Amino acid sequence: MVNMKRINTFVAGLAALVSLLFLMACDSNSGAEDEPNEIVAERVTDFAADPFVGFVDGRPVGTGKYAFFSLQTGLEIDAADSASTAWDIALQGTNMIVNGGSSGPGQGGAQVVEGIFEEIMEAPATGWVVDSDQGTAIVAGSGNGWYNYNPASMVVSPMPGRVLLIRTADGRFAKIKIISYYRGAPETPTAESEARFYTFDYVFQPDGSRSFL
Amino acid sequence: MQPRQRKGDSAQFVATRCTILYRFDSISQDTTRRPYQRLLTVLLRPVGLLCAFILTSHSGLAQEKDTPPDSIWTIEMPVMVITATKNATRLSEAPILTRVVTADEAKIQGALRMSDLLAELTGIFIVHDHGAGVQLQGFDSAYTLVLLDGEPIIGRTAGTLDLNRLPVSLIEQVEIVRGPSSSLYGSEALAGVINIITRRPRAGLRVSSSVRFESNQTTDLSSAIEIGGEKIGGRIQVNRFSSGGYDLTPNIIGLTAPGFSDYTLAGRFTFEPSDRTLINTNVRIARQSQSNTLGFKDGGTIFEFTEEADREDWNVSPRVRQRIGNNLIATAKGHLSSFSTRSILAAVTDEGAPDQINFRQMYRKGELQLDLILGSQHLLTLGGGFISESVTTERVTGGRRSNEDKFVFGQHQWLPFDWLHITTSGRLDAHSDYDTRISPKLAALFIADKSTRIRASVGSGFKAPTFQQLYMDFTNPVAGYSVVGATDIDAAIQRFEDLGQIQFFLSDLASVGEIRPEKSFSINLGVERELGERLSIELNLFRNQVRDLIETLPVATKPNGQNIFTYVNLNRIFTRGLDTDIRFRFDDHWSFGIGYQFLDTGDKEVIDEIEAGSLFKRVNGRDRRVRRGEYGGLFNRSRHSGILRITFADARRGLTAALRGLYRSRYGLGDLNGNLILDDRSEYVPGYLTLNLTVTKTISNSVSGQIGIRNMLGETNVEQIPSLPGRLVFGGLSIELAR
Repeated sequence: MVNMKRINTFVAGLAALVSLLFLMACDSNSGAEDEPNEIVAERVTDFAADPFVGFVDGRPVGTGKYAFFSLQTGLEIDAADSASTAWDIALQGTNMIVNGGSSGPGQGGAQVVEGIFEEIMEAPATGWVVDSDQGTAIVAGSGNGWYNYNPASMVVSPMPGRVLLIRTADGRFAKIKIISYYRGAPETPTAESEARFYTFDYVFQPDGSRSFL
Repeated sequence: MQPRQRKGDSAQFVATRCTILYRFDSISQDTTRRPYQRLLTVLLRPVGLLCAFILTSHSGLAQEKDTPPDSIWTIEMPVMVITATKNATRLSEAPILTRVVTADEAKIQGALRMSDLLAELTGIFIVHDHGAGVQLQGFDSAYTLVLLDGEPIIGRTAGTLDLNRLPVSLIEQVEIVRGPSSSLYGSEALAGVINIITRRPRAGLRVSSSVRFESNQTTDLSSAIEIGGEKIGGRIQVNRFSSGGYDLTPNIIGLTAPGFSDYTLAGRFTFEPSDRTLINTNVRIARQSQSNTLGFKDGGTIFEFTEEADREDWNVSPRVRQRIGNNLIATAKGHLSSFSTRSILAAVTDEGAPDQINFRQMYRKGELQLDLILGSQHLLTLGGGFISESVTTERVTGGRRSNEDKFVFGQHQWLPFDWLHITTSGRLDAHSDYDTRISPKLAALFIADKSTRIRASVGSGFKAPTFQQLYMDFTNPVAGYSVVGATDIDAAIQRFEDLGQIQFFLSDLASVGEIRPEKSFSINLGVERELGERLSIELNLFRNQVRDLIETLPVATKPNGQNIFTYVNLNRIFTRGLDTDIRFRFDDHWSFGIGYQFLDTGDKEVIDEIEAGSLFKRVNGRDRRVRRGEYGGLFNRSRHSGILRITFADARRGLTAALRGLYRSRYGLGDLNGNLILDDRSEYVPGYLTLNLTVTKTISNSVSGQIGIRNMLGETNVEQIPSLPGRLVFGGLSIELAR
């Protein structure tokens, strides 16, 4: 775990350094007209990831099925296409899979890095993990992957300072920041908030490069 | 209580070296003359420590007859304490600073339950988490050992020992020793020890009764009968405490605090067959039952449940003390105690079987203690014994588990000079389910001059892993995660693996190692000074470093995506601060007290992460690194807190009025921004003030009345402090007949 963290810090640091150098280079030799466009992240709101449909023995339950999403089109993909490369990431409750390895036919992979979403300017060359029967690339469980579960308030919160880097089904790159796990993305969700509705920001690089600029 | 000491201290001139006073019974604030006279004999004889030990250990009437019946001297009894050294010492000469609250003070305050009483002491907070627990020196309730006449009170829920279980009417005095005392008491005595001393049966016949009514249909009824002769004494008391509960959120189904009724039957019996032998037995049985309705709405459907919770605990604690020769006292103690709870959750709307959880804990202890006088400067205490505990509940592997702890302890009290007392102590606990633990402590008392005392101590405390941390075996039926105690995790992992219930591993158990007790290293430094006749000041500095805190660790992930957790030694925390108490007696009527505590706490791993830049927070939708200055330390700790007491007493008219203001500054309630630490303004409960007023009037020799208002300002915080019920008004009468 500690090692993993160190590597993540190292990767994040390296990414930050590379991007800083890049920025400085831009600043020093380019005019105002060449400034990179301000990247505006796309926002997806209330993406239903198998919300509760009823109660069994007084417990809320969902259908157990993943909801699929294409980072390229920004649209939900029908579950019927789950065996294709049409989708990049799929969500079910707090679980996340990417289209590759044991989860799909694509080249999909992922890594969760420590850092600030807006400051991550490039996808790293190494560190990619593919879903397998040893676990998903975005590790499940509180404190392991993208979220913290607070047993006192019974609330799932996205871990600040964690960015999901995704290699899409066709090998391109995207970064994702989870905003909320609850419908309407309430400022301070409670145990009563409607869970399994994701709000997230993402930047997809269509040109196939690692850059997020 | 404080002013009384003064004349007693002047008697100390005579008995310069009679510093360790030793009496048969633990201590006494008794109003009968016997103990006073006995003590006086000691004080008037300048023959050193030995005399103190021998003479005070006598309960023989022969000595009493020799005593000059001087009424002035007999009133000036110094306060005696026992907790700090396991043998009776004057409060002023206890090597560890001990705070004492007497039954009289409790009465002036109008406290009903132990939690009410302790809430009004500097540096103590009552924290409501599965009961009203005590926070001492910034530690959770789980880290303070609570004793009843020197024997542990068992039965903690989520670490909290509910102090509402104990009626104040039991007590003669309460002693609070801060800092680790594991060197004498073993596990749990990390933040300190609270020892509730019950009243020893006095001579004659006494019958007393009291009744009190309070808002929220709260009623307290108490009766006691006490008989004492030359050799035999007994006291039996019964208490009924009930409440209708209260509801701060009428739009939510169920009460905020459910109603309950609580019964306590307690007795203490003494038998002194000769002046060398004392047999004492304490018994107590207590029962509480409460019920509530819970529920939630989902769309148009209402799901309603009834919850019944019962609790029963009892103890039988015999003790024999025997003087052997002139220099040795042997004490044999037994303690048998049981604590059980049962809760039944039943759905109102369907016919399904109710969900019932049972829990039962048994505690057996045998202990032998020898107190040995060596010359005129040394008092040696040696002891040892065993503790055997068992737990029976559905939530442990096999349904029942037990373990055993064997222990030895030693203490050396050395008085090289009149102005220096050095106490060294240590204890070894060999436990069946975790590592052997040695807890040392060194304490020094400097009597700088007649009015100044300086105390310094360093020591180590420990807290054993709980039943839950050792033996739990639980799978949450709603969420699907599993928690397995440290002793069973290897077998459980094998079981899960055989069932194909492990998807992949998250931590390497082999690298985690065997579970160990949580340990602390602490330093306490205090100064106590009397300035003239009217003013006294106490100032204490403390620092506690705790390592190997036991926390949950996810070990593996199940196919349902949920984790299997176990308990491991992880974090290091610290608490440090200062507390001060200033008492000022303005005149015969008015007196004032001011208490203040500064407290700083933190988790070292969190600080390391912040310093490494790997802990973030989300501010206005954007993440950034947490700054060191934003970290507010552990949750539920107020940086500043204070108490102001104004007391008016008119002995001629039999009137006492006590106004107390209790302030605590803001404290962290829980994480809201996803990083699980306290680092944002919104995560704090704002500071607040409660004012309590109690007025007591003696109506006749045997009857007194009391009225009061608790939380006069009507402070409430529905969302964040549901345990604060708002303004409460009470009134009561008590009667005591003595012959």
